[in-house]
Amino acid sequence: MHIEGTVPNPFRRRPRPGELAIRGFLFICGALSIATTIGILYELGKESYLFFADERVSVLDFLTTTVWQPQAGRFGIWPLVLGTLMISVMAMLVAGPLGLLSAIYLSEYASPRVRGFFKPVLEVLVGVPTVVYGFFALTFMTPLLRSVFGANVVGFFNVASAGIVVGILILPLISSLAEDALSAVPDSLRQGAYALGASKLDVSLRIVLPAALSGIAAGFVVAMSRAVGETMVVTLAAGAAPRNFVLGQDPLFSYVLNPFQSAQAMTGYIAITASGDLSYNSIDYNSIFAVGLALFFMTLGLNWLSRRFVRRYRQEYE
Amino acid sequence: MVNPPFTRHTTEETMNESRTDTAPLVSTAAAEVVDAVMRIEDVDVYYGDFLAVKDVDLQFARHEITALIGPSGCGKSTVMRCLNRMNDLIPSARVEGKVYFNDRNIYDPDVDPVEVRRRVGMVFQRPNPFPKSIYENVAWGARINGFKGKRGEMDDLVERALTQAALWDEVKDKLHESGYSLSGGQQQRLCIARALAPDPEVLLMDEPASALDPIATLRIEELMLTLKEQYTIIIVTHNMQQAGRVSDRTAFFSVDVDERGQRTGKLVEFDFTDKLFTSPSEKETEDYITGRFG
Amino acid sequence: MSVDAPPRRDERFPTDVEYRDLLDRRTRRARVFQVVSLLALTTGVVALATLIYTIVNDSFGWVAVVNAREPEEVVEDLGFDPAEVSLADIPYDDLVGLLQATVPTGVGRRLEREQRFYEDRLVFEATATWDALCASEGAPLGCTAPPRDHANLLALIQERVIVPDVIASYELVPSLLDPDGFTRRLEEGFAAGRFPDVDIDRVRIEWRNWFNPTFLRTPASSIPEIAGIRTAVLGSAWLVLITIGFAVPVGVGAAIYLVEYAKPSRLNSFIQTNIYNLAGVPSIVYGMLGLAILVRALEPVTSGAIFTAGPAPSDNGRTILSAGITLGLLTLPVVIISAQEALTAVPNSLRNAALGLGATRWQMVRSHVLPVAMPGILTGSILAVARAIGETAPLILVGAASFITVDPTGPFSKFTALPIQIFQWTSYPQEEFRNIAAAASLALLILLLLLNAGAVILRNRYIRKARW
Repeated sequence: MHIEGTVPNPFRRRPRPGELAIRGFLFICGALSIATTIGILYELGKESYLFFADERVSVLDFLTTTVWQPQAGRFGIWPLVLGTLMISVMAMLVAGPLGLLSAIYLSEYASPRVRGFFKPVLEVLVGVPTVVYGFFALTFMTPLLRSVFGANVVGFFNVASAGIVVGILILPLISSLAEDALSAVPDSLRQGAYALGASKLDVSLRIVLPAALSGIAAGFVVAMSRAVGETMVVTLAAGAAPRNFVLGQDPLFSYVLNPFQSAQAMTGYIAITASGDLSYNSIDYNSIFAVGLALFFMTLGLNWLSRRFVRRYRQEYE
Repeated sequence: MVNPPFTRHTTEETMNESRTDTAPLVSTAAAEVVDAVMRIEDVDVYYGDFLAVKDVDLQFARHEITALIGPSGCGKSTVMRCLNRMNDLIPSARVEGKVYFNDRNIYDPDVDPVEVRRRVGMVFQRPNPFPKSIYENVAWGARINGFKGKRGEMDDLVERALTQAALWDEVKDKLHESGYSLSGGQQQRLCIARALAPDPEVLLMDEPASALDPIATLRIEELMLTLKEQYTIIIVTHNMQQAGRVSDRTAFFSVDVDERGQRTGKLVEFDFTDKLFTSPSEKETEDYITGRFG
Repeated sequence: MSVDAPPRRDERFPTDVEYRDLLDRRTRRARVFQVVSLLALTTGVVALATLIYTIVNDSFGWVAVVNAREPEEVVEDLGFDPAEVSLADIPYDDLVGLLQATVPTGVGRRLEREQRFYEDRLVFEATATWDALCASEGAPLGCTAPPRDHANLLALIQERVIVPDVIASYELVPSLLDPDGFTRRLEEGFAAGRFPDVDIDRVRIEWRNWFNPTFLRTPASSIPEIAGIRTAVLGSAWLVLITIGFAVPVGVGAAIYLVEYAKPSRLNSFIQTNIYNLAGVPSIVYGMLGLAILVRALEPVTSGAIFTAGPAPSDNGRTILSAGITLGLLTLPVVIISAQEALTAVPNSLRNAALGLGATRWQMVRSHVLPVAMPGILTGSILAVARAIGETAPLILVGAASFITVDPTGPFSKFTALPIQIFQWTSYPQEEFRNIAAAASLALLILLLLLNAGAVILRNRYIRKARW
């Protein structure tokens, strides 16, 4: 209401219900991501709790014993973790040096035409579905390893085949992240180094590479996280037999760390168990969530680590 | 290896020898360069098909400061980059003509540009220290050039370079801190120390103080005057007063615009600084100095 | 450089001669490094080439086949001229008659219960029995599923009447380079007794394109010789629809909120970090989320029970809807992040211009920011969805059916998907499964290639349109 003779305030804030509704909808979209995280944590937590509540299982055994044999009631997670780590480390050993060298070449040496050829190829490698990589591991890599090292040394299911193929899978990831880190190094640093009488090799390896180090480290950690979470290659090529071991008793290199025998990884266990008959209230059902929880924390930790590296890397050019 | 005898040219003789067209003569009346550590002879610089700067003839006297001035786009930085073959890093760049360092053409096919840069150092417009410690920044250049000294001798070299750059007192207690912990002016002096560490003969400075505040600028200028006793300094600057304060000789560049609108740089006048600023021979020079253009 | 130079002032630096040696050594090392790093780069190319080679190699080649009944015999028995008419041309009714004549009634009834032959009449079952069956609890699929079509029936005939058995296959490259090698290998195999129960005279050697247009149209089968990927492709198509329908609106909406509306606050930065974390979570964990919440807890919704008064479309929650939303959740963080990048790339001057004229925030976003950011958003979404198509692990968890031949009809259907099919076929030991796994992989790769190419083309067209 306004008093006769005065002018209504033209700038009064008019409520716009349409705007509010839209804003609310958009906020819900954003908040859905939080619901997802809550859902993951809740479900993983709940089923893991049920798992540990079963009298056959104890948290201590889960975390400390080294035999995973559900049929016999043994639920030590280390064999599965060992499988995951062996494959991931192997993948990093393949992809790390190759990816880094590729990145250095692309960033410091390659002409635009060469880059225009190699970068799309790497993009395609990223787009190949992991199940096709699994097929590749089984039908090409395993026979190759068996013919090189001997069919009695290399088992039909083995860690090495999965490890190498996962390495190929993450190679483009390392290469592109490392290349981003190298390209982000300001050109003024290169110019300063050249002006001192440095050769291209000096500039690339002794100025640019150290400057980009934390960005490269971040890339490595992201790739490792990807390798840890990889399921299909591991399920198809590394086998379904957990590498149960007894520390101190079993020979270290010919058995525990032998890459030529099968070893089930955490993701492999979850996939195989879930694709069989699974009733909702069985201990097997609960066990996959416990393993899933461990997996979730592993990758979460790795991703947090990579973001720490990225933050340090951003500070370096101030 | 037979050394060509050390020849002396007067600037005028050089001009007469290389003049092939009827373009206006560069005025070089009394600027006789007796002892030229570097010479530029009939140089054109192209970026692809584009002629960036043409017909440059210059001599740089030993232990003097020579300034290159002119409006933007006149090619002065391009010319300076010819002196240490930094233009080689630009894929489309092409240099025609000769550039002599102590009477040896550095653009000879059998000369490795890396070798040239060992003798001709450079400081850039914006300070660009490496992400390393202050000590390492200075030591790095010496190391890659094959410094043979042991640890203690490297310490001496770092101290020498930092002292020459008038930075030693400020950083001697924090040599192992990052180069980025210094202020802008200090970083630039660090870059100067870094450039001096490999013991070059010539120091190129591309607008070294343009990114700095007036006080830091003054310190850099004072530094230049002390350094010229040991080194030969060539600077590019768009600050005429700076050129006037600091340099012994000055080369003035300008831009020619052809019918298609293409801008090509050219050398207009090269003379002792006081002469150039008080009684320039060319009208273009006079216009620039008095602020009528550029 | 010139020996005439003034002597160097510092003797601790190398002399000219020493320096030149140093330089030569450095140049040699540099060249080695350049070659090594180029080699490293080419391993990526080599790996990709090997992968494609392996797949293509297994998708074509000679095979040795033994049929229980030859297709030409069957055609002739039905009264047609095998020179003019092939099995695929035989009319539907004749094929049904053939099936009736060949297959025991029990088997026929089972087939009919899986999927009827006709809409209006039954072939193997009595009407009364059928009606009773369909009204009861646990009614078979055939009660509600649409009847079989010609392609479906042909597959059945192959499976039950022809019964082709590939006893050996030969890869593409050896087939082209050394065709006789196959015959030799077979003869050796027979001599060594590797093919018991096979009459060597009935063995036909023919060229087989495991990857061919029929492959795409044929439904799955337990017999690899006649299996196709139709069921799987349709399943994947349905999944993609639901994934896009869920992830793109929600993802772009979230991105718009975060970029245009959200003020810096603890909640909003927490949402942002959360999204980055979610993008790094392994896909199998999303599968577990889908299993626990969508399949199990929300079973009434995902099986369609709450939408119909009668029997639910599906007897459990393992439906396309569950899988689609699971994949949607998986893709969501990636869509959000790429949409955010596209939106932040829009210059602020555009926003300020619109706001300065008195536009509300939504008006500004809708008419000024979104059109400019659209190419980036579209490309990012298509790429994210292309990734989702290739995902297998979440689908395993959410219960893609291990063996299904019926085409999916809606969001509440049981389903299989292309990557799941590849996974299954790869894990079977028989050689022929390797061939069809390769062919299916080839199909998947081509599909993805088309999608990616489409994304690039779309983006380029949009960029052209947006330029005024």
